[in-house]
Amino acid sequence: MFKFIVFRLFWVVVTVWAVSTITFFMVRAAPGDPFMNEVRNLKEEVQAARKREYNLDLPLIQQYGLWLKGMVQGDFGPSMKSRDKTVAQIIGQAFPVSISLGVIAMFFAVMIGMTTGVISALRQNTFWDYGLMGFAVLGISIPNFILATILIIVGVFLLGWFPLSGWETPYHVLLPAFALSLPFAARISRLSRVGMLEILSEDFVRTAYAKGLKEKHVVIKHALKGAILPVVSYLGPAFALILTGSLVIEKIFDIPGLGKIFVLAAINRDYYVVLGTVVVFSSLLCFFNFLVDLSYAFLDPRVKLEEAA
Amino acid sequence: MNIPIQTDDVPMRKRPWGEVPFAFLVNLSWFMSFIVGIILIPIHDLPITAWIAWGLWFAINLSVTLFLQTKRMVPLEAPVSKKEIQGTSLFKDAINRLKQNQLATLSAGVLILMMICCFGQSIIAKAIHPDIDDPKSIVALENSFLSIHFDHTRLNKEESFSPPSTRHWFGTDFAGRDIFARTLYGGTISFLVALVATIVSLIIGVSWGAISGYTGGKTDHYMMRFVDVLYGLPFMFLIILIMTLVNGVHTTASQNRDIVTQYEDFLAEGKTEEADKVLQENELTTNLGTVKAAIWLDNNISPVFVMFIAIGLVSWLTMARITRGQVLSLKQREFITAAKTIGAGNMRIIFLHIVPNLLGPVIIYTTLTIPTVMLTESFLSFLGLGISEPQCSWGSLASAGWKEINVIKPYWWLVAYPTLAMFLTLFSLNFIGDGLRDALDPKMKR
Amino acid sequence: MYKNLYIILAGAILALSVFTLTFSGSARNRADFVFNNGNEPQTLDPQIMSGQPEGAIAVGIHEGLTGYHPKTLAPIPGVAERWEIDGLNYTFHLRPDSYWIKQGEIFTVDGKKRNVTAHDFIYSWRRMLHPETGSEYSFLVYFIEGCQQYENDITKHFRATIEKYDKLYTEIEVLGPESFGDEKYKDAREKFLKELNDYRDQRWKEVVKIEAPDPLTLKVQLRAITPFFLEITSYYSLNPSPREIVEKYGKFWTQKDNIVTNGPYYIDEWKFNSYIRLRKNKHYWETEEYVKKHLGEIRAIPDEKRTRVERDLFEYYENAGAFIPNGFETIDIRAVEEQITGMNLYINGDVDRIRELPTAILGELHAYRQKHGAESLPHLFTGTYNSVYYYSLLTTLPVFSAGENGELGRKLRRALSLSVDRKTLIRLVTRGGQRPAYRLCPPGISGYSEMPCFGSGDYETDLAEAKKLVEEVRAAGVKIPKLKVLYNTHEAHEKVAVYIQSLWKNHLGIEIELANQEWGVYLDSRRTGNFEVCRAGWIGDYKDPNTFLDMWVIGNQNNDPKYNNPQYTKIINEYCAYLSKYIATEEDRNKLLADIRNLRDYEIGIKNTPRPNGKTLDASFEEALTLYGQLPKEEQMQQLFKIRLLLFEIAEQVMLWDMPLIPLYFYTTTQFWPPELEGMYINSKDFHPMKQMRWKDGKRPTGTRYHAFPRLDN
Repeated sequence: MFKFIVFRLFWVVVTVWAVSTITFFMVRAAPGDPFMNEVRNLKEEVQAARKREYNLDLPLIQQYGLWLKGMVQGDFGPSMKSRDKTVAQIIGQAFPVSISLGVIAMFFAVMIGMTTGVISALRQNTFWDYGLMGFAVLGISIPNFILATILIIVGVFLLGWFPLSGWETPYHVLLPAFALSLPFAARISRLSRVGMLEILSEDFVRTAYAKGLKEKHVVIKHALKGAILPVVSYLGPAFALILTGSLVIEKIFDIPGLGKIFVLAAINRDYYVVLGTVVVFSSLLCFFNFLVDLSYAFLDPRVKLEEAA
Repeated sequence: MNIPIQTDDVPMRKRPWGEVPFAFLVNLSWFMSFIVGIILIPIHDLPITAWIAWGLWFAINLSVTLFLQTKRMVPLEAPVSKKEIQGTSLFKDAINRLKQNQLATLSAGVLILMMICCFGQSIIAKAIHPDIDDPKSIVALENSFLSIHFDHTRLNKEESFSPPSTRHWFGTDFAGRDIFARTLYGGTISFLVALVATIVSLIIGVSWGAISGYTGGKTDHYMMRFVDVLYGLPFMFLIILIMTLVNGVHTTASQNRDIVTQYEDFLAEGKTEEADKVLQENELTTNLGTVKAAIWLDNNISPVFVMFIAIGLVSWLTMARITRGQVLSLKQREFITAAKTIGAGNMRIIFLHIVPNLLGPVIIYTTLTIPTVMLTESFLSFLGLGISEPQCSWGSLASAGWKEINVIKPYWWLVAYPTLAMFLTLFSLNFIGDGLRDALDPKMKR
Repeated sequence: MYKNLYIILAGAILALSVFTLTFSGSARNRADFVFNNGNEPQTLDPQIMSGQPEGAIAVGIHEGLTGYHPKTLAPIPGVAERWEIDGLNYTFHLRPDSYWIKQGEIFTVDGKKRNVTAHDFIYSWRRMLHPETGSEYSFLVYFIEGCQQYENDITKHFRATIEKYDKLYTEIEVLGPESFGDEKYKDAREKFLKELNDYRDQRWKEVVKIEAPDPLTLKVQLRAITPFFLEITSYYSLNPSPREIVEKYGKFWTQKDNIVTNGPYYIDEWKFNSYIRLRKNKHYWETEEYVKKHLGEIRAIPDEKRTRVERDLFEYYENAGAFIPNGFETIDIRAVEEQITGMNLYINGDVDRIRELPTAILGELHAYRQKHGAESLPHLFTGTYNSVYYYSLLTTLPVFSAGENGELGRKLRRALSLSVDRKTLIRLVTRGGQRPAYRLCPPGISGYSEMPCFGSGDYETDLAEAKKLVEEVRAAGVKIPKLKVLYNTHEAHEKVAVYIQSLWKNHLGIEIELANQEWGVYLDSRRTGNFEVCRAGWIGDYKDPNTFLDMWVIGNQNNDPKYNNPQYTKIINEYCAYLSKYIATEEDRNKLLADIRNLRDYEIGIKNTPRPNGKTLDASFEEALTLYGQLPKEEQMQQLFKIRLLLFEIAEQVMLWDMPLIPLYFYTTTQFWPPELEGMYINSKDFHPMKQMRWKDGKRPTGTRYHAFPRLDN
């Protein structure tokens, strides 16, 4: 067990390192430099001074080495667009925002998805089943920015329950998290439905009903596990997709999270910010996958840890 | 259900609607009349004749349905048919089951209809406007029926942002281009993107999974470990960076192409100082190598192609996993042992025996990847990294239209129609996929 | 047993705790005024700032020697209470109670309250000229004698010193606070700084003519006639920076916890990419008593004797009152980038002002307004903006320099310009109520002609002439190749380029190829002359023709079309800048007139240009020169300014006769703000000082504004 954890954590570190190295060289390969967006032509001397400030005049390998050394110590480097902030500060302010958005969206997705999936499975082939599954297909057939717009039109303009944008009060979280969660709720709904149906067709469930146990008891105690397992294995990729979905949602709802920062930085060639966000995201992702695999072992004792690895 | 009804002569049964002949066509016709009705409603200057025609279509549907309802009673067939008992294979079984699934067949019909419309538009547009693919050709203002409705590059500034009308069924965009034609053309591009990306992910994923599963042992372990590692990458970010990189290469190339040709001409003629002067004036002395590489890349690889490949690369991982699972179970089967006994080599066994048997899950997964690909492409378009003007896809049309939505004057038609088209397509693909899965996996209690 | 439910419960608790933690401790009430700035500001350091979003914040938190009158943009007292002008010498008298503020409280140094002194201004202007600061606006200080020379000298020295120290130490980041703690480099760093600063101090004393005889007096000598100098002292780049803070924190001095400012507002909260909250500076000098005293002083002077500044001030205080009791307590500045989202926010009532409107809607709004009058859209405010949209034509291109002395090329360029139907372009393509440009300088410069420099006023006539010119060019054997039009990737520019492409092809038979590049790459192409025809725009830094015309002199780094006209260069660089030298005596004036009349193509191109006063350009110029000789000394300065403007008109006419660029239209700015907002006016620089803004009757309008916007079905 202990060996498993150490082994997996080691792989997390290796993956993050690999990703950041690839990103570093890829970002630097893109033509254009961070100062090309200045309105007036920067004098040569000023450009040179700025380049020195950011170590851009050193050979690429040396820059990489300096950056890596800084990263290990927690210094993510300076931002080239916002001159008075370090990358660590920028990411530090935006990180909790993205995390809370992601976690709450994940929560909504699982709750809504599993509830609808279980109900669909239990009331198979009825109006409930077709209706809920119809909605689920809707969730995965429409681009998420359209879904978000529909939600805005309904929630903000027609009903007036939610604020339009920003990130100030708890009400500001609900609509974006909900919009972000819908496609995943749809998929989770289908997954748990299928899983539930599989379990329900097993012999021991029939036995339980034959013994006279009530439906609620059977479902919660036995069948739910079948619904949870496929969802848990989907949580890993779902988390990655939620992170990418947040790029769109943050743009639409004007939320100051990491996604917005990443996109702006990529366009502005703000190297260290891009690298910082990529490192943060991939660390999150790998770590989350690791947790998912760990939980798999707890949930289904049939699965040995090596298989989960 | 076969309920034998006692009548005087032959016992009859009521067959399900799906078994009635022409049921498929009637279903399709109902569905299309619905969609057309929805499309007709916003057209504000529609003459009454159009509604009358639609009403007629509706009436025909209704009467044919009622008529066919009477044909639902058929004689109960003897349990043993007079013909020989024909064996069925897995495939034939599957296809039969699929045919009975009305939703799946309807979806297939809708999808095929959609593809016909889209590709048809491309053909018509190319026919009436031969140099349509040249982005620099200027469009003369034709006013023929075909040109107005099917030429997706025809622009007329006077008509920009006009709502759906008889002249432009789906309205126009900022340049006066007909949205109907653009939506159909976008469909062509979207289908193309989906196809290429899926093929890429298929080729890589199936080969990877098949080789890994069949070989087993350490190789399998490391190959799957690699897949797991890649699973942990935030792919979207890499794609965004790739697309930004590609855009950058494209702009460097287009900026410097003429200069480099001039430079090389000078070199060829032996005028070295002039050549150097050209370089110096344009500040290319130090990075001539990278600029040349950028130009070569830009000449030979189009950015759209890179996007196809990038999207395909994202989705091959799950394909590999599924394939490996299937191969692991197939490996134990007897026909494989038989082939090995004969002395067939590993590669031969993999590609001639195993891969064909993978078709089932692979096809299912393909129909479920295509929606993901299309949504990914719309996501990239939303961020500004997808298809660039004047080409369009459903995703880029929807996001461009989204950007114009405002509270004072909502140009809803820019968004609604491409989204509707995408929705219908993805909807159909989902049901086809579900149908295939049910057809090939009889254990499911559905 | 109920393991599964526990799992779900655990998940729910986790989510709920995250949810509540997200907003712990920030119960925010809405600010008095919220406006959308478009982009997060890159920096708030006055000397490094550039760009509209930064400027919009700077007017609130910083204050320079002078400020802008919100309506006329005329200079009003800022840190400088009053000033005297004597020829090229300006003396500013600073007020003693303009304090530096840190997080709402007066900044103290060694226990003493720190007020803004003349030395602060000297320090700030000086650091603009240092390359390591990275200022883009250092050219604004060139108007002061010696500054450009100083910059050139120390730049050379800087480069040489860095190279010298680079050879010794490779990792030291000079002048940054990071290397402070590193003992190894401490000595080297100190040596480097000493060498650098010694030289700089020496050059400053020798060359630059700025001095501070006492902490509250600043004396400046200008290099050449600069009637707009007080506009420049109002510009945000010349706002003071606190020396102690800049030296202590280096480039991090503008962070919210470190920054020290002197303006009517200070930064209270700063959530990156979200909002910046400004709070009223209660130690600001504009108190009730001050205003009462000042108004009383001005009232004592009879109206005719009041100076321009006094008149402006009087009107300003009558309208706005004093800042301290009446100004907004808090202002929120948001950074929503998409124009559509910004507009939706405004209509929903979340935001009280937006600076930009989406182009798609702009045309509809302007058309509706034109049809139904300005009252139909009470939230919309529009006005001309001090900027021009034009196409540069690379004059060194073979086809553009064909013929003897480039005459055929000139004809071709003229034809290209005349054939553009600007009115239709504005009506159908840009749709923002812009004004067609038949000259380069936008309207709004007082005393300067706004009449066209070319074109007959009727498009059909112009088009006929354009066709004729092209025929002449072709008849002379010049082959017109396919021209490439470059623009930066933006939908608006693409639309304009597509339109012009169709015009030139259909009317003149000239093939055009469109090319678009990303902003940074495009700027690069423009700068290096890597284009044939290129779209460009220019915003004037001050209201004087110089900012639009000094770019086209030989050697200027912004001369994209590489316009090469020594006569034009001479007019701008010599005559206009040092005019008093050239009109001192009657002999000088006659010589000047003769030189002007000797300009190439003077008779056909320049002499008979009509002016708003009804006379031709030539006649007006001669008349002005004669009048100058007859005026008494005190009134000559004003006449000199008039002659200077006439010379600029002549220069502009010379340039547009050659047509190295095609002016297309003058930008307009269209914004939304509620009609209940007082103290807010459209002006041509789009600078809106915040300290005089008030809500009508002190009440902020709440709720949605949806009902105020009609359905735009026209």
